[in-house]
Amino acid sequence: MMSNETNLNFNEPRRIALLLADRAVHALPDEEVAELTALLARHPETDDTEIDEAAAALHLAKPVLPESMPSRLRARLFVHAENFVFEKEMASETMSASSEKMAALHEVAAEPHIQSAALPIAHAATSTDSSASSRQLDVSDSLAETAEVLAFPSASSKLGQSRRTVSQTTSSGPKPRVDIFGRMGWLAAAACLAIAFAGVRESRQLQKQVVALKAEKAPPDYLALRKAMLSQGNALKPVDWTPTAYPGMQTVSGDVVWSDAKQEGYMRFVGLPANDPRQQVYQLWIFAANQEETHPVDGGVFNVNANGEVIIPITAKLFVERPSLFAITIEKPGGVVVSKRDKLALIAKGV
Amino acid sequence: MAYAVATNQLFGGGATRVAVTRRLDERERMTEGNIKPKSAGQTAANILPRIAAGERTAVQECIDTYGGLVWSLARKLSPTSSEAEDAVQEIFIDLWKSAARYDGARSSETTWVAMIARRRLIDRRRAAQRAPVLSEISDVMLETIPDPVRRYDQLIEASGEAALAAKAMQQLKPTQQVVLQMAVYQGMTHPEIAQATGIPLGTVKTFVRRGLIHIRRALGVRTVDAASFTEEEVQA
Repeated sequence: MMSNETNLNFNEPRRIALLLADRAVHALPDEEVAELTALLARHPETDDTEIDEAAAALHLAKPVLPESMPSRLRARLFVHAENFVFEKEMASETMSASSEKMAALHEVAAEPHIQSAALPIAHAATSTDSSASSRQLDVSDSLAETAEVLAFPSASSKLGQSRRTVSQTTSSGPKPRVDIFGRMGWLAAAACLAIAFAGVRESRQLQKQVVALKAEKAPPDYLALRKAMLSQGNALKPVDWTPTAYPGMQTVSGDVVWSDAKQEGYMRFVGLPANDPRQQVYQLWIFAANQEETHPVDGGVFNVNANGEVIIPITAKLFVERPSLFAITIEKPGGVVVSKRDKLALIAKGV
Repeated sequence: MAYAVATNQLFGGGATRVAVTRRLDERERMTEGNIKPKSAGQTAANILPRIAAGERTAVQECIDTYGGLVWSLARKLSPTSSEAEDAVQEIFIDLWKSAARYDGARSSETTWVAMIARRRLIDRRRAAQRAPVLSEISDVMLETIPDPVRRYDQLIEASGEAALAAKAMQQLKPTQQVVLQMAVYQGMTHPEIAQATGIPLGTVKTFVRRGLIHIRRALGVRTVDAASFTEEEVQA
């Protein structure tokens, strides 16, 4: 896949299109990633997501059965969702805290008697009880420090310097009240709330996780779904499986039903031998009117691990119209793209 | 061999017309007749803009709405169920973080979600250096709960691009459809497809590259004409 661009000497937008088409379906090797990066830098007008979107749209065009995610995965995602929201909100609060803090500091700096930041609560600043004002300064200091660390760590040294200046000012007697704590105190309050909020959030996350795990429900009832589809009258009538001469299939019975309108169907088997998925799997092929006979539609692989009646939903890889034949082959683990049809187990002729 | 093809049928006439890759604005789309069904796409969930705006409930709604779709894609393009679960987690984090980049004027939200998911899955596959296996239906029957809000098929209906892509796909020859299917749906590389089908590697590259460019044109965006590539270019 190495580029021979200098030898071939073709137009760069065309080369970009080819590389993007490759990238849309499989990861590019490092050298092509570098080549594409350089080409896109030279052609900033190019939208490098359009062919990805084409591949995505094509993928969505494939009819499939809805597939719900495991409940444990859903619970995991909700935990991460909470974390994402929390981090986003904290980042937002930090930014607004920083901007308001700076605005408050600017206001303080503008006061004629105060060179810079924090004073204690207003009434303590005017009190003649120097010890009381000192204690309150200690309390406000610790809360303000907490606010700093959580909201704007880089300003902590600046605030500390300002606080020392203020304490000297306070001890010299009553000064004009500057409600700095009224401005800074909200930071402390916000800090306390943030700490408490974090604890509540963590608890809530765990609660949600437990609830989600407890809410595990039974897997889909494919027998009921099949019956419902048959009762709606928009599906083919079930067609019976006919065993082939393949060993073990002679006593197998059951049927297959398919709906063109819904692009879904169900296979029912009775007595189909269990398979060892490490050795082989069953694979369905659908011969449809809208596909060439040499290219049956892959209906998916499945395993059978129990005797008795088994209902398997059909997952056709392409659009199926008027299926004329359903065939079950036995293939290697994971299935195949093209079947040699040398292990044909069951067939069912469509209507 | 099931996929024997006549090579001389597959290549374009080698036209030399060159078109610069660019996006069409809405007026050009309408003028050229390639009207994208934007109304269909825009009546979909519209969750990503709300996430970008900081709406808390939208993040969880994103899981409810697109969980099935993302899980289906991950199951198809991941080697194991546990890797698919890890991939789904990474995909949703990608979606939330990139929500502000979604532009509802150019594609439906469903298509965007599928694109983000596919990108992450392709990157993970490269990192794992393993090929995906077909999903086993028996696994699907276990430990699932129905999506509470939207069915997968409703999302697909809301994605107008999917209908256009399906129509464009039908315009391709059956063999090219199968090759493109292997590349897009199963995540197979060009050499893997060539080995599985017996089709020459150069032909596989041609089918996939031209096929995707053809589909992109069908979605109403002007790009280089798929037929204008020479054989030498496409197989490089």
